[in-house]
Amino acid sequence: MSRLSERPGEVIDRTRPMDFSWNGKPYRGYAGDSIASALAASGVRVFSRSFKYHRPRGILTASFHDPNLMVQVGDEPNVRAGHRLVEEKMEVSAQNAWPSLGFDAKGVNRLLGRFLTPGFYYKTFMSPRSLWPWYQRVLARFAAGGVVGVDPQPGRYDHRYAHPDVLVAGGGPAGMAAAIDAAEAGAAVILVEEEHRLGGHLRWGDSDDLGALEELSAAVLSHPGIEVMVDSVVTGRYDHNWVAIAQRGVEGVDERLVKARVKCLVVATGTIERPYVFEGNDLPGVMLSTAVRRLINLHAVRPGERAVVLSANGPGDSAIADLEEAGVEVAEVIDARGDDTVIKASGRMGVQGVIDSRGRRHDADLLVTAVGWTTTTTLLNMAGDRPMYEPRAARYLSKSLPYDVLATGGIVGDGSTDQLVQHGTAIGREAARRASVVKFQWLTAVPTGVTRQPPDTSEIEVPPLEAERHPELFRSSTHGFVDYSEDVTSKDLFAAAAEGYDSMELAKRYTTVNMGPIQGKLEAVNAVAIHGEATGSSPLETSTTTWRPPYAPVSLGVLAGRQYEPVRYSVIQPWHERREAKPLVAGSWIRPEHYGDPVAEVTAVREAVGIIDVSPLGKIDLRGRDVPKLLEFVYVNKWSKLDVGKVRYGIMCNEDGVIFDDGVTGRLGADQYMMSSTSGGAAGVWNWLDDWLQTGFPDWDVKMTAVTDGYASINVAGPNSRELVGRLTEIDLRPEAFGYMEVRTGVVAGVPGCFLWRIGFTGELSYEIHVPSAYGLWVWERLLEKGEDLGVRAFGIEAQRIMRLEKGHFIVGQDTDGLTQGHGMGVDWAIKLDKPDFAGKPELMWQAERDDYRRLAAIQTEDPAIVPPEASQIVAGDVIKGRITSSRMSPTLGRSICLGQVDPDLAAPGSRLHIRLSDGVTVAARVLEHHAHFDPEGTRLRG
Amino acid sequence: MAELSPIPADLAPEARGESLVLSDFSVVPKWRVFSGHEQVRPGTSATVEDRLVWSVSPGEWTVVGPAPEQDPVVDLSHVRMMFRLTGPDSSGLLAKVCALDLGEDMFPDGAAARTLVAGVATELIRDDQAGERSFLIIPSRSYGRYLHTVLLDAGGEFGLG
Amino acid sequence: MLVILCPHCGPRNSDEFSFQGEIVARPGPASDQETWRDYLYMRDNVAGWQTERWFHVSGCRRFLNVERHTVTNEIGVVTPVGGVQ
Ligand SMILES: [Zn+2]
Repeated sequence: MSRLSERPGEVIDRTRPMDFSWNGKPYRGYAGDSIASALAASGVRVFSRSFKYHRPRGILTASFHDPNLMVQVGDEPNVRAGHRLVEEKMEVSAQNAWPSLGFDAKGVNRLLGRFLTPGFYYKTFMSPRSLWPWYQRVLARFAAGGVVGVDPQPGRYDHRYAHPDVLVAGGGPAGMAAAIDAAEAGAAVILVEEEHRLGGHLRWGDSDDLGALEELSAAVLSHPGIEVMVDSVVTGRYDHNWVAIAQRGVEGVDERLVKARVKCLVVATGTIERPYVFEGNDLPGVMLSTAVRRLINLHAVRPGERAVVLSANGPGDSAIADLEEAGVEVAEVIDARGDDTVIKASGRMGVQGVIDSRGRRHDADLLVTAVGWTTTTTLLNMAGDRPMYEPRAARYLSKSLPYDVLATGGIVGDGSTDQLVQHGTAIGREAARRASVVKFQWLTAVPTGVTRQPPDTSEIEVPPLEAERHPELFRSSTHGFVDYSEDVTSKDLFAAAAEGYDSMELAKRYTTVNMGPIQGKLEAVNAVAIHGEATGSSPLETSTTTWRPPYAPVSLGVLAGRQYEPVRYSVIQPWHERREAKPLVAGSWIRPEHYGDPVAEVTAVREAVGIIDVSPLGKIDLRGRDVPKLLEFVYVNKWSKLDVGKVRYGIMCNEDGVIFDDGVTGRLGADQYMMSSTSGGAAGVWNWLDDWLQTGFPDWDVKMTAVTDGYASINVAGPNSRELVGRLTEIDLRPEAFGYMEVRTGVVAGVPGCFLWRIGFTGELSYEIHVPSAYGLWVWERLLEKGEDLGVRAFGIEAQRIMRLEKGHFIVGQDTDGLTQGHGMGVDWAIKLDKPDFAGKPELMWQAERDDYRRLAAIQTEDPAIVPPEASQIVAGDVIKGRITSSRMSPTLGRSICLGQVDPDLAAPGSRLHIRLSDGVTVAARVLEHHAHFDPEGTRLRG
Repeated sequence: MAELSPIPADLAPEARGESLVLSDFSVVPKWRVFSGHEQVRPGTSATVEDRLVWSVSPGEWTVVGPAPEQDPVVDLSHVRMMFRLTGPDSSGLLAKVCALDLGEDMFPDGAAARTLVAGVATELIRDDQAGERSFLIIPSRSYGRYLHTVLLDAGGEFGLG
Repeated sequence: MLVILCPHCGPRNSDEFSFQGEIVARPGPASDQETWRDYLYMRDNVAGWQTERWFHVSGCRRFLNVERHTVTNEIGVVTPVGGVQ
């Protein structure tokens, strides 16, 4: 091959040479060359070795979908050399070839070829099972694919949303015409083209085609209503026209994922030329007619010296003229519209001869085939269409589309450029009209919607575009490759059929046909036709192929892209960070687990005073006449008489009786209640209350506002807490004035609008101060400052967890699970089955009657040094009798302590238990009388 | 006792791009009321005397400005942060983090929404300033730091920094 | 990603909503076990049009009745549930 003199439609810039390397050797191409065209111009013929047999492979389609042109570029594997433009200093190398393309050691597979029948790997490497990992390692060395760089890549990937009225997928003549006329009708249009330039097949056409291309693309590019994305691909169409576009060529980013909500989608993705199956059809030098036309007309590359052409259609005939113009000697033209065809291509590293069906041998280094077109119906399928095979035209055609999807161009039918443009024009106008119908509906649904004229309801008349008659040509009388990526031959499909794989879907999985990186775009129709031939059925007519997203492979980078993982911080976070708190990810919150020494933090709280940031605690402001009714319904306990200034602990159960949250609610004023929930349960409780209020009791007067983030919450705990808090507030803290389970509002450290409640998760005297959050850090720092002489110390979640376990307070979700109904937590005193109704009541009633449930129990191992890991099983022989839900070494008691769920027969105080540790050893333990390991009387708490 | 700072300490400094300004107005008083502004429909905002009022849900209004007279009223000043994004590039930036169509006809000046911005349910008001395109972004406070970082990052393309 | 035309907010992506499933009326607290368990667990699971409940959790926070075709995902009429209109 060699570079031709200037061609009228060439896309290369001969003034900008590009020096790059191929397998370590220097090569030169031009700006605008694909990697493949630049190499072909320099005489490269073999681009890869095939997947299974390591056969030499060359250019087949010269496009993105060329299965033989997967190369490694730098540390990026599987680059499509038929599509990717060559760049200065690019390092390109062949994949799947060792030690070199010319001499491939793995080519021995070719000699073994007759053994590599379908299912070979399954059958050969099946047993013994113990060798599977070894098989895997050996086989992996033989598998295709490039090398993935292990170092982090500096690439930048972006995401954005778009809301076009009309999105046109495909920038051929019909797609461009549709975009122009949709935009002319006032629609905001996005036009997406997979290749680097607009034009589709016009690009490699004659002077009339090039003239039409220039006119159309100038109109597209200058239209303010059209956003053009080239070198970009619509990877999927999802429900309600949610369309994903992998956009390339954006400044500053490698790729961008555009998520577009499209009011009307126009599919103008055209057709892909189909290969022909015969012996030697994968030899370098066997090319599709579109490949040679691309090479000659776009890249000015002579694809060979002496050609045989097999043509069944007009575009194939045009290739003959192109070849002659490029100085290729056309040795023979075989007209496939008659009875003639090709039987075999022969040669070692490429085509040397062609044998036709009359038995004649032609010397040639190039065999061009033009045997038919496959419609790229992927997007139509994704829109719910079930395209059916039309034998008269030898291709699939659309059957039915939803209102918001239209098709135009080669995917619909054939025609002159004028006919394609006329069809596209009408489709574009109709697309704009349908988009306006959708938009009108949406505009009238938003309160601020600009009122406009109702849309035109009369459909635009679309001229017919018929699919031309075309002979059905899939396979010659010989066997050849069907799937080039997976090295599957027509013989393999016959073998699979003979073994009983008479369903195409099963044969596909057995032979792996259609399962390579090209995903069936080239080979699916041939595969179905040949499988039908092998099974004696005609599945083309009865089957439709299911195409799933993505349409083309998508880089992981563009999918990962700019991902949003919201994180929440307390306003005290800057202090935690200054003190190098160990961060704990708790749901979306980042919280301090400890500040270096959780045991010392426990000791400080037990002996002096500690403060912990509990800002993530859920807080809901409740107002209105019917708040008591709401509380009465959502909690299992009674709420009718909660005086101002009091707080009460409550448990919430779902309708299945399963505990889902707990917390305290206080009455701050005559008409104001504050409900707290667990940090992790806050959002769930808020939603659940809304559900009951809106769908259950819409007449109740309850006004609910989530104010979690409005208050920084600081728990001040320990024997010195009263003294410390007293130094910052005028609120009367004497026990007789502010008792346990009471709430006060007032000023703390000069900050008005605080509320404080006396509760005690840690088991110590404690005040939970809720400060308007902008002042949270201020109050936190004042507490530390004023409490220095009292031994104040900040403590984290770990110290709190230890202390609550010492005290025997359970945590919903830790000590309960998705099956733990209310009574199981030992809170029977709180479950008031005499209330007329509350969420989960019937289930809790039945649970009490059954009395068969696991109980929460405080457990201590007999050996105080052993801390059974959480989730350790409690066993009796081989029977599981429960599990450890929480366990720690208690710094206060100097021994191991646990909470666990235990079967009723072992739950009585004093019961002896056996806990199986993770190493299989069983240790003895006993059940305590109370849940609390420490201060069961609660004297510290209530002091 | 040290002087109580009247301004919360965590205000972010103003960031500027060529055609974009991101500023932090979290300090303004914000309120939730349940009556008194029935003329402000869900999805819209309005200036009522010296207050900005909007609704994103039936029966609930957010008020920015002096304390309202309605009863009950819940103080949201500390619950929410409030960022303002002003300039011709503001909708381009938001298109990178918000799936809502913020185009001129679907989301004109005065529109109000609660929607996902970078994965966080956030209130968003189109509140043009002297004819210049401007959005108020009102997230719950604990998400403020994250969201501000996200907006700066997404604004890199527009020179925001 | 579906579009749901929220009666309060206009067209919104379905990831702003929480799907609540088929609408099941709550039987009284004195129901027998069978009735209660039907309420908790038994669903029609139709292939076709059904009215189901969605919660616009990241939007107006209102619960909605949504007509949806469970096979095609086509959405019909969307109406608010009780409460303030
Ligand atoms: Zn809504």
